Amino acid sequence: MMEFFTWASNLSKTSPVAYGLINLLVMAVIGVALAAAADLFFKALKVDLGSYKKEYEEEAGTHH
Amino acid sequence: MIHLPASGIDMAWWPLLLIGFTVGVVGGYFGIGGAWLVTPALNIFGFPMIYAVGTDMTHIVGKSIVATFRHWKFGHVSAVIAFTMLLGTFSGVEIGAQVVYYLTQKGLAGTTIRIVYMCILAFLCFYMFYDYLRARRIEITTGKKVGDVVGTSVSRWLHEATATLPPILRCRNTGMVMSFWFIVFIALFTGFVAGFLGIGGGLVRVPAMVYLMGLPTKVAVGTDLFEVMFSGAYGCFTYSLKGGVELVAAVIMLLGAAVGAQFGTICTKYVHGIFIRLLFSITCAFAFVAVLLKQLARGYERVYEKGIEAVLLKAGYTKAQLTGLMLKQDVMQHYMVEVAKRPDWFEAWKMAAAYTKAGGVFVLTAASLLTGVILFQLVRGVIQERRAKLALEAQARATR
Repeated sequence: MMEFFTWASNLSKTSPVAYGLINLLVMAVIGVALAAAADLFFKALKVDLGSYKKEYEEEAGTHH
Repeated sequence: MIHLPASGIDMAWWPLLLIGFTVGVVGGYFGIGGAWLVTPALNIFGFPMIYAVGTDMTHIVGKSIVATFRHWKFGHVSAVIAFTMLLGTFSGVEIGAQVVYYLTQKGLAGTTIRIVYMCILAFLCFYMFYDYLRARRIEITTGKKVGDVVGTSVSRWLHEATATLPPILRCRNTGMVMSFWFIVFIALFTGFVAGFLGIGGGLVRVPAMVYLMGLPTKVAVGTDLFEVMFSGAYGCFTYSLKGGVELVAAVIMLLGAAVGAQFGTICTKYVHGIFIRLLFSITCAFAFVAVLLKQLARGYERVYEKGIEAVLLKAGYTKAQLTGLMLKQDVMQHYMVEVAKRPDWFEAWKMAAAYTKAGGVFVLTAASLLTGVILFQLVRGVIQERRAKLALEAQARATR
């Protein structure tokens, strides 16, 4: 794992554009994976985290 | 300990995980990136500052994906508004950055920007707190619970003024219809402010969506996180081009932030929008103090900055080494007192370091307090929901 980070870090000196793209890709992949894993975790626990009735829907929008 | 390959230093991994978790909770709850929290906090733990902003921007990309996904499932994200806002945001940021460039050439940038930032934060803090108190007063006079206050006289006036400007877009979450140009105008304005202040913009965009666009608080939070995903990606890429990103640190922060963002985001289900506004106003007050401490530190830095730079360059150090050297007390004492014979520089350096440290400690305390309150709200909400569910089941069994 550390080898990858060292390689990526060296890339910042030789090819900054590739370094930028790799950083974006790594964050996007980990972000999507963690979001999906959390969703599966809550589903396994049978916790309902879907859409719900919000206060502004109940009150049909309070204006002042 | 982990090795940071870009800067070449070793540091403990747990502060990164902890900062990530805290900023994840706060960011998921308020719909902000939280750069004002991360940078001073990283400074306290000895993270190399030239990589702080870029690393923060990079972890924001992953964190906002996690938080947006959850808000999306709750129905808090308006994709139509978020995508339309992107057009205005990027243009606004560029205009704001040009103004900063102009001010930098005139030597007015730093202080002017911080004073404008503090004025905006103070205004938001007082206005949102006043807004919360007004909602509570409505509750007392009408005897009816006020969960969220949707729309203001300004937002209604703006909606009416732009109602005939096609194309007209429909926000499915709220049932609101608004002109494409109205959204672009708001995004241009908030983007300009963000670009001018050099921040991600969540602290300005969420209140703008609530008070100028008239969106419900939770939709403003979710939609802003969607927006943060793209602005974070832009920041990550540009800072990477300059070599200002420690990828391994960003990954560790993201691991903490992904967990924190779940808690922060889920908590929004259990609290009313008006309460989010109250905590947001307190957050603005915290950010105000953090910027004020930074400004005080900056005042002392000006005393020795140019002088010591010249001394260090003369001693054979490169420009790239200066930032790191200026953090070391023994090096500063040697070059300021013994080489340059300027003990007043060293006194100013000590004061600047003290204010910077105070800023970091304050921000960490503030973030911990906010996280504590949000987690308490979450636990309370889950318990109440569980109790209500059990009561309903008992009632159903009794009627059978």
